[in-house]
Amino acid sequence: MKKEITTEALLRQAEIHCEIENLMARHCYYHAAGHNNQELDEFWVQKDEGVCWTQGMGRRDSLTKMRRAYGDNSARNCMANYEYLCKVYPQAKGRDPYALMEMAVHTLTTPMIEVAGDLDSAKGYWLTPGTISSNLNCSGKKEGFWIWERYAGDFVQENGRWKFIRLSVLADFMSPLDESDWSDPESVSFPDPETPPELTPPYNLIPYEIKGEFHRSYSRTQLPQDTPPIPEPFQTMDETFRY
Amino acid sequence: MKLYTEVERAWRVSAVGEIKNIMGRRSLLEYMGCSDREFDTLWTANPEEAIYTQNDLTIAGLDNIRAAFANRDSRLRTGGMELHPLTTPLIEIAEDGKTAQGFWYFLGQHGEQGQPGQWVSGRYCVDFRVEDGQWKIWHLLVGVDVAIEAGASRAAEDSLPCDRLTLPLSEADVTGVSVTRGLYYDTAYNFSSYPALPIPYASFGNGVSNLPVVQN
Repeated sequence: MKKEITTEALLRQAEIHCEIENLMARHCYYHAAGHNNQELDEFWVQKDEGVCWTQGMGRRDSLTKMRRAYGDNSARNCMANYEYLCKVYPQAKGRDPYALMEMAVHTLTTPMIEVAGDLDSAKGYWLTPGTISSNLNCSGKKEGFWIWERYAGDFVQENGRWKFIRLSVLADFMSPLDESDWSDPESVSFPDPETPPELTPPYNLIPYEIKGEFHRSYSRTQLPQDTPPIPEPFQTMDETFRY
Repeated sequence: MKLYTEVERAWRVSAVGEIKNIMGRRSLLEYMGCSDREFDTLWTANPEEAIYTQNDLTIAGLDNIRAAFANRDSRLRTGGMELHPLTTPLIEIAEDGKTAQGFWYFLGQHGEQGQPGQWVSGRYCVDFRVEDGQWKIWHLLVGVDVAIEAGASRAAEDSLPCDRLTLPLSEADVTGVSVTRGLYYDTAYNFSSYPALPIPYASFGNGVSNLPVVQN
């Protein structure tokens, strides 16, 4: 039996565990549909302080910055893509322009969720094998990639609901679906915000506000990567690290 | 079916989350090449009772297991990847709350310097027990179903006999380590019914265990 914890607290921890799993899954489904702004509205704390979004090469440290890039800029790219697509495929008119952009499927596996002893916050970690694909492209061809990443998030309550306050999305490898060897360095194809790929229509990426090397993707010639840290049991968010 | 008090029900629900966390932590530490931390924190404190099993061998005793995985981590230090994302959890807590059993599928990759990547899939079959209020790994079996070079033709391989898969531990990893050889997990005839799926049970010792049994 657990020591020094009431039955009520034990039950609440188990409930929060389930709520965090659902919240993370909602992020995945919204993101696959391209509804990033809706995700920010519904599932993130509505303040700038303490908010952080981290990827391998950079970080955005406020909700405003996240909304500018992950939200509004993604939406603009979706709308530009939609306009082009409708010229090539008139039958696409009236479809959800965000979903038409791409289908970024991130599955959730290997869940590890630690709820703070004070029940006010939680940390979660997942491995996320997935695919990024699109069946409808201006090129007239389908495209698709394997993408395997790690998710690590901090969660807090806002108005009685669990919300994201920080999320790290750290890629380990990405290769075309038809690439014979996912570990082949030639197949790795992460977009670099500093030098966006030339696509039709023009695809805009906003450089990270904070640049840094927060995680390296897999390479046959490097050490296994131990970032981000694994969550451990904790009492309050103030006494532990932040993603 | 046993009826539980409210306190017991709360504890049992919480236990499922803790067991998922233990296996998640184990998977990540393996991915990070940090097996020493896994054995320091996640396994039984009774080292002589720990058992690790994979398709072709079993290792008794935590010191032996630790030595083999230290060799593995060292071998895969550069360019290594042992990535086993866990899915499909099936967890049964014993009625007496002292032990638990769990099954998972994993779908992952194996990477190694100078080698093409591999797709790897299989299952984890694990016995857990409570020690000082904490769930610990007691017996662990990794059954590899498929390990194939990325891009290789599966159809080019003969049906039988089944591959003699040696992941996650290779021959080099267990050199100098006391192991028992055998065919502990085999998919030559597809789905393996061993180890048995966990079912509700009263207490450990009812004959339901992931302890290795040599296949006939």
